[in-house]
Amino acid sequence: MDESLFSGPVAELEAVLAARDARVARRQDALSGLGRPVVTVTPVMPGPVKDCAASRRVQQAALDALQQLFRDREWPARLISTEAGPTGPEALYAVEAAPEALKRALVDLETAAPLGRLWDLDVTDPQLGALSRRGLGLPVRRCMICDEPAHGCARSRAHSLPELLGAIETILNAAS
Amino acid sequence: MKIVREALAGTLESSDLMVRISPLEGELQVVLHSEVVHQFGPQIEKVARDCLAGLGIEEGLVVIEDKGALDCVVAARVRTAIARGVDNWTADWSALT
Repeated sequence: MDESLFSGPVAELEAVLAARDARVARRQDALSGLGRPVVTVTPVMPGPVKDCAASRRVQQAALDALQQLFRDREWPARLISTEAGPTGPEALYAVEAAPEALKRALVDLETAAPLGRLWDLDVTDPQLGALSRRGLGLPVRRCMICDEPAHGCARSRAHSLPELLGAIETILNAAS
Repeated sequence: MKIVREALAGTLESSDLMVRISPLEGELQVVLHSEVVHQFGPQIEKVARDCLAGLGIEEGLVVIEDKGALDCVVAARVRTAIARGVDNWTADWSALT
């Protein structure tokens, strides 16, 4: 494994949770202030290191793909915030689009784009709240390694961290 | 310690959980909602109850909306909810970290 891809500061649990709380607060402000669906963009990066060459690369690719999507669909979009630091990259977009169409387009990206499997693209609507794949009848996210539903594997720690990072590295190499 | 007010901690983001703790006389109730309740329900409840016991909470209503959180996240959010729900923190401070 190319360890330089994944090396970076260790993010303490408290910091990760605090960053999440802050992100949710920022998103709430955007939802009530702008009244449009908000897309939350974060990289899939298991383990204690959230800010590394791999996560930055994955995040940049996500932002590029989203900008392209918004242009192609002619959905006006505003980048509300970006964060960087030990808890990892984040971005929020407010998008003028019907929330279900937006969610479907993002699930397509996660499924079809070369790095899509490493993107966590959430849609929250001011009225409908968080939109889920299941709620729209879309297939759930699958584990990178064994293809079981991802949430089960993650919780049961079915795969070791080196295995997971190895799978991420494979995806990155295939895309370059 | 005693839960004297309703308190919240956490979020409904994926891999997190939201904990709401409120006063209840005479019993300790844990109510869990989770997509993985069949696989991990007992484990999540155990982590929550261990936290409560460790902090000497014997009465209260704890409602958990789980979005796939790991044990360490369950513990952290439950502890934060407790800290927000009590008036006088008389437990061991190291129990917060």
